[in-house]
Amino acid sequence: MIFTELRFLAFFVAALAAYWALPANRPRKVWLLLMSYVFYAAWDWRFLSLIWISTLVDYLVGIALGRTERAGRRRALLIASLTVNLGMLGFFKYFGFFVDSAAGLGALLGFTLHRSTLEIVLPVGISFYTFQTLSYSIDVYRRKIEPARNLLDLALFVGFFPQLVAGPIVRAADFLPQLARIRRWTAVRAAPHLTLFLLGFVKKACISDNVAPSVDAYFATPQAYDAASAWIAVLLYAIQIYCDFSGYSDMAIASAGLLGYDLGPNFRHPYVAASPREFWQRWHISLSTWLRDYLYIPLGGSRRGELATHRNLMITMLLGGLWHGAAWNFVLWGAIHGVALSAHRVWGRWRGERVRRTALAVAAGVALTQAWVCLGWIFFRAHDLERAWVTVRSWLLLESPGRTTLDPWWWLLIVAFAMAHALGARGEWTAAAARWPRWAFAAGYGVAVAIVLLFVQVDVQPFIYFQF
Amino acid sequence: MTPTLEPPRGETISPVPASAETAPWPRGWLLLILALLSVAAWAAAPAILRHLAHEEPLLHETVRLEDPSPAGARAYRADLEPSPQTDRWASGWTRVLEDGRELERVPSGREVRERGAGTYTVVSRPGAPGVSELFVLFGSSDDSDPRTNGRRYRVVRPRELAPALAKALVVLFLGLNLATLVLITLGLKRHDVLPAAGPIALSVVAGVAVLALLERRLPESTGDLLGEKLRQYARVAGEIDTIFLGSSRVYRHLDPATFDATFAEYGRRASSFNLGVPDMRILETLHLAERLLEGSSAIERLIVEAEAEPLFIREENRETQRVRRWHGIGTLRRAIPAILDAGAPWPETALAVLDRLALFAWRASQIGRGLDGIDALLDEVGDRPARWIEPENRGFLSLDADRRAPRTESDREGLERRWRELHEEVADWRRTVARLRRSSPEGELRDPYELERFAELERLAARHDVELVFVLSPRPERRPNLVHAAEAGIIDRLARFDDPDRYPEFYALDGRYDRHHLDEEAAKEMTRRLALALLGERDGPRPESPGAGQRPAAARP
Repeated sequence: MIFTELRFLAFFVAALAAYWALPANRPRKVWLLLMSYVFYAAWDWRFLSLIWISTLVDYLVGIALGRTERAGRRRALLIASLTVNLGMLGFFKYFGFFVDSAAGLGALLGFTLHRSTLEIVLPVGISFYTFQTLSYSIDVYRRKIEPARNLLDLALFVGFFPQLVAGPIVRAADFLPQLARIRRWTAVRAAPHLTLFLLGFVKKACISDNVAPSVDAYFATPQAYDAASAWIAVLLYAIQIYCDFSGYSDMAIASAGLLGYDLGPNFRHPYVAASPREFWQRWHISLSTWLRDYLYIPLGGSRRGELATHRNLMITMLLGGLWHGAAWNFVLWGAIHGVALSAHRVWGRWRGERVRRTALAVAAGVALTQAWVCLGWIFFRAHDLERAWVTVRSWLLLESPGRTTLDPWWWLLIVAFAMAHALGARGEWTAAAARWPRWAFAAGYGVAVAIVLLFVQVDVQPFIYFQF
Repeated sequence: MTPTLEPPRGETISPVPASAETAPWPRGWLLLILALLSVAAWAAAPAILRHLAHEEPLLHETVRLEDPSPAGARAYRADLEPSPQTDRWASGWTRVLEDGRELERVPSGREVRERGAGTYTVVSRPGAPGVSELFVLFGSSDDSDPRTNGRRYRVVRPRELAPALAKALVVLFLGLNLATLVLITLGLKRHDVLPAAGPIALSVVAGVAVLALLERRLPESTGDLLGEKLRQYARVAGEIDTIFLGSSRVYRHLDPATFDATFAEYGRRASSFNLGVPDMRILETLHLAERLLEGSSAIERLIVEAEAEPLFIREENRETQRVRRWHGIGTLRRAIPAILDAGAPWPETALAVLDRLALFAWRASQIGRGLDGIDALLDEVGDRPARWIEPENRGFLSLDADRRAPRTESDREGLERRWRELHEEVADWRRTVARLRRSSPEGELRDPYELERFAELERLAARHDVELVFVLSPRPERRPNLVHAAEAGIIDRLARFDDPDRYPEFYALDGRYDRHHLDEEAAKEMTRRLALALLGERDGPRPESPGAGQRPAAARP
């Protein structure tokens, strides 16, 4: 079930109406939990068992952590939780990758290794809810939060349908307290949430899905296209992946908001970032902060000298890349960002106060950062390293391998998107909707929906981040 | 950009209102249970409805195969209990198991006899009135005698749901949803959510008003064959006086160049355009005819095929832009009575109505039509090449021409397969023609609803002062309802080419591309004959049948 499908609308209206009609907090939570499982079962009911295992293990580990003060026992409990959660993630997501990589390495060394014949299906959303449950266990272990006493609350934290399959990656410390008390409809600011939902819908159904066929065509055979098309395809992919993922996040945040829950932001106009560091403060915020808090800082962060900092940055980004997918192109993508963050750190220390932050310097920073980001997207999107390399050479204008061209009219969309993105970064447009008179907002919303429908791509594409 | 959920005063987690926590709780639990049951009912409903409509079975029964008898070579025959009315459904979903393992299903008894070795087929033949004879032909996995090899043979087949139980399920479904709705409404009222219904209603009204306003002003889709034809037609609409509308038998048979040239031979001017596309039926024809006649005053002549409308839209067409395109309010108004009049069992009727409503909703929501507008604009500005058909063809593309330069490999395979199916099964085609010769060429009332659609086309043509001609291609079956309409005077002009005695050249193998279509040469010849008929010349359809250029006796006032 995809947020842009009609059946999700029917599902959500039913879930919302019954939720707000229920008179007390507990049946509301039961309702939300069961509807969340229905939502997930629409993908594949068999993998609900993985969510239940993860939930139950972390619930029991949390309770046990709350009852013991012995450091060794606490560490053992945490390791048990990490083993179960990372074990499931590793098996379902990385088993094939590591076996294939080992077989490839063996072949390089002259050994013939039999590759695995296991065809493992990747359960939707496993990377997201595994990171959520991990953060819960680690936070309880670190005594940052109290363990959940109520299995229902923890199950809803893990399985809450708006964020279940593609985030944002919510922290227990933020979400569990919200479950403690009944939510009131009068406290929900419906207008901004409805606006945010529509905005997310536009990003996904009107922009991302419409550019997808051209992007797919290019990346399937980059050697058939000219250099101008490489530029168009790479920029379109940058637009596609942003609109796809941030569109999903917007709809998730808005859906949760209409149910009275705050999931926190996940994107803040990343393509206006003037440095790699700023990019990661704006792109997939819930993942970047997770990696910072549970990987980068435990590795030592920037407290153990310059060399260790660079190492930590690189490890964090490589694992961040691997989180996205079990393939070497994602690792390379992580490395590209790791190098960028390290280089920016070196530059920042060298620069000191020497370069004034003028408009020109900011513009140069944005151009350089986004060019680097686009380079990363090439590896992120390419089917294999060979085709990625063809695209890079074409994109750098080192060659123009083919004669096929993508429609030059795409430049209009690229320019329009850039302008809208920059403009959007300057204000809280969804909050502005709340200032409209109620009836004017309602009528305007109906008209906006009608106009948006005109530009919806009929062939719905699955969300890109569902595969992670 | 993310909105702040909480109001500025920091009421993040609202204290529990006393009234809410001490609310009469049983109603809350009741609502929760009813709502969950409703969700389960909605989840199960499509599968149950498909079972009731004899689409995909949900319930099966296992029956032991009693006393199989030898049926030639390696095959054995076992009779099954006759299945009234549902023979196709039953035979299509019946499986044969050997010791619990399914044997391999093959399409014909001949294949079972030849191959044996664990194959089976299910045969359904007309038996006594209203009842079909149903049996399976199968061979054991090692070609041993299934009567003595000690293995167990069973069939698994769909099980009918008792009508009373089906009705009870419907009542339960409706009652459950109604009760849930009532409790939700009461709950929303109690929690001050109901006032939001006003703005929601206003929003819906505003949206629907905008969509209704856009309905006629937006361009049609250009993303398919018909869209491309319409776009090419729009460029020359001012000079086109003759339009051909219909299925592939129009698309592949009527050549505007030949038609215009024949008119020119006789000193008459004609400028025609072929808007036929595969599987165009009468409701689509009506929709298009309405839009074309409203959009152009240059049209003087409409030549239509008017194929019968099926109860269900074909599965592969259901989600196409083209089918959605013509499911406007007019089509819905015409389609629903047709479905209700068809006399199908209620689950099939319900599914068919739901199907049309869904298509109408899709059309009314105008999804993607703005993109079509942009596409059309870019096509114009960018002068993009044609995707299906060159503009100078004016919508006509013979199957031979298509085969010479197919767009894709699968197109090429499909076109060649169709040609081979006719030219390699010659005896089969001869039997078809012989059967056609034996069948009555006279009209017969089959579908009163369809007559009303013919009459509607006539009224439409009269209103716009356009000459309307129905055409019957050289097809392998009769079209008695249309002939009846001509004999009864419901339609004025019918050009018939469906007589193998009158037009043997159109039924000869070297005049045909496949079972349903002529080759290029014969298609052009048919076009010429049609033009001649309209010109009143002798080479047109024979005068004694209700033909074009000649009003049938019954049609005269």
